[in-house]
Amino acid sequence: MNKKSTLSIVLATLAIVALLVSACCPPKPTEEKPSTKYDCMGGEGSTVTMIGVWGGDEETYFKAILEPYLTECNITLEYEGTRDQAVLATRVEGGNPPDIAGLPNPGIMGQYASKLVPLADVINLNDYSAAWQSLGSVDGTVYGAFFKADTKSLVWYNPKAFAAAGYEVPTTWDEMMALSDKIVADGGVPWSTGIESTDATGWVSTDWIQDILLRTEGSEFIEKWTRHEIPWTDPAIKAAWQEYYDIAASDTYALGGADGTINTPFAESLYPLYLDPPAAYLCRMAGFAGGVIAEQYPDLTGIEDYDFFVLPAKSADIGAPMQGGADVFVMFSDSPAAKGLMAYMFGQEAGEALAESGWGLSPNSKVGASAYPSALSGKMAAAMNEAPSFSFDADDRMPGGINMDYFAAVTEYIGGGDLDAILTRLESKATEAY
Amino acid sequence: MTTRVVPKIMKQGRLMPLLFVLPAMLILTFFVVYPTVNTIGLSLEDAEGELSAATLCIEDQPCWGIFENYRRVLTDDVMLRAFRNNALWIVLMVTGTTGLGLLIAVLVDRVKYEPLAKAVIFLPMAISFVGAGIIWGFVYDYASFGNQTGILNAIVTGLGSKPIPWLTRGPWLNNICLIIVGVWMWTGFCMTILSAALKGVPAELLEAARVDGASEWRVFWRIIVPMIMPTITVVITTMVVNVLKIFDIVYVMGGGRPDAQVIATRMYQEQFVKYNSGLSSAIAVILILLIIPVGYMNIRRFRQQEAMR
Repeated sequence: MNKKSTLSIVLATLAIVALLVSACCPPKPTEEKPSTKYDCMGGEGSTVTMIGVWGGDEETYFKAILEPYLTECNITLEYEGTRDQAVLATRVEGGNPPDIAGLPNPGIMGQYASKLVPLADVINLNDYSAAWQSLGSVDGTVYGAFFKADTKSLVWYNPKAFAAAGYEVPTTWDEMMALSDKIVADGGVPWSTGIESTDATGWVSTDWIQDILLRTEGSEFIEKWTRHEIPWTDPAIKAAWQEYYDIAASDTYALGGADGTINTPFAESLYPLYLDPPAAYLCRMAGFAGGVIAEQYPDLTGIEDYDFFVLPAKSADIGAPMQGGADVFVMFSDSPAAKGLMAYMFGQEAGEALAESGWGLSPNSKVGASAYPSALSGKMAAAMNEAPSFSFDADDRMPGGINMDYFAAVTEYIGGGDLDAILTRLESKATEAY
Repeated sequence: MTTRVVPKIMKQGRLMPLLFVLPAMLILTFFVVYPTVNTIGLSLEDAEGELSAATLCIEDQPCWGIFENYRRVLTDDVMLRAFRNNALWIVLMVTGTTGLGLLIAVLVDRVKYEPLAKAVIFLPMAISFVGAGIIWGFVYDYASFGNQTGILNAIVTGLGSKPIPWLTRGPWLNNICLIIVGVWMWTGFCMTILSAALKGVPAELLEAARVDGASEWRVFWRIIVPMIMPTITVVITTMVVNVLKIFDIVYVMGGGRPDAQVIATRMYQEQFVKYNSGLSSAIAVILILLIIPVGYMNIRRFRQQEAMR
């Protein structure tokens, strides 16, 4: 064989291969944007300092979400995770604040307001509901944005048991209580209300009471109560305690009555809903309940076998505010790198990465339900972002460990304690603590 | 004339005794005296131990000046209940452990399998408090639905009654249930010491009494009890101090609910849950003040015994 024919064979083979390749894999629309995928805002090569509340696994999750941006824009992140708010306070006072700081709740934000960078030009505020924006505002200016949140004001139920008994998900508080009465009339027990949690027994009740107060008085009331501008002996607070008592300490409404409420570990109080036949039908529990049910009953699937509805509204004007926890981020520096990182953190992509990780819910309303690993958490995120307002746990933000007194007091009340004496005692503890 | 030559080293100078007690004094100073003084100091300060407790006072409210922490401790009704519960613990647990310990010691003294019986009674002493708390947690377990895991409630529901929340029904049942655990753990300790004392009662004395026609009941009350009275006192005072500081059982079995709190669990809560070193130190000082008379009685008893020898 001569050289010419060898060459022609090689060329022909190459041509065929080329044809095959182009036929099987048509060139994709140019998606790759080497350095334009993220807007680095000119912060390439610089360092961003950050203090956050996450350590351990949470820090790993968080950093994994930021990683693509940091790599792309060649930004070095110096992250320090601490729950001790004094660390941040000391650094701000010493004139050496981090570029970005994460705080466990927005209440702390106010004291730094004069040193913070407004976020309106940094992140796309339209992606966040009015409720989130107002929580992150000080005197009308948005300084704080919420990265990760969880929800508490949920009522878990068993859709199949509901269908079998002909019960419907209530849309108002009155409907919910009418349903409770109907379940009682049918010979069942409506509520499973366990609160046992070793030396913190009672915290579940405090969440319940806050949910009731949110629905009767609104979230501003909660903020005032947290600052002790409303006394514990306020009639609205007393009424909320009583309303809770009428469910959780009732022999007809609550599984096991007051004794059942005090003695049943809070997580286990979800179980009776999924027994056959159900021992109870409703359980008010935070978002983590989905995980508890999945672990206890691995054969059940979310939405189909276990589902939740938001604890319904008592009045149309206040609606059904969502209680929960969320971490707020603020900026002390307007360096390009810090701005770029904030813009990425609060953009859709990081929100979707958070959703996908299953670590928490994203307050970003662009993050659709489909971004979540399960339909249940997607529904939870939607419920959270649709709520008219979002309220942080009041007692956890009160000074002097008063929450521990509150836990014990509410447990005592369910056990038959005198409400006026208990509220007076809490008021005097609060007076001492503030 | 003879002069006794005493080697110099045998002569006790003024310094020598001090040298002997010095190590003990140093250790005591570091580990007992200093912390006590520091605690008393902290009890007169605020939660962070920075300002005087007098600054905690609120206008137009009762105030004890630098003793404000003490006022708060002594007027708080959760704390008052803790004092009441502790008193109940002392009455029931000290009589329970000493009484049962003495009874068992006397009874097993008359049987062949004494070591075995004593070993069984002593066994709970070898279990950690936390372990015992968990074991008894199962005994007292309460379920509002499904099967009863707790043996007591399994029996109660088996007999057709509603389950009883043993550990949360205040103010008496829950405390008594906890005290039973304490008695179960400490009876072995009392029995061992009292049994040793019983062996020390001369057999001829008992025999003489029996020959004279004394009933066993009379022998017990008129001879055995007076003979071992010093030991009984020691056991009682030891148990009183033990019970004043009781913490583990209450903490493990329910974390000290408002109705079952004792002094030590209140102290723990103030210090390690609420980070209020002022209040917790005040509680600690009150606890010391309560223990001192018992300790004093013990020392006096000890001195009397020494004098008798």
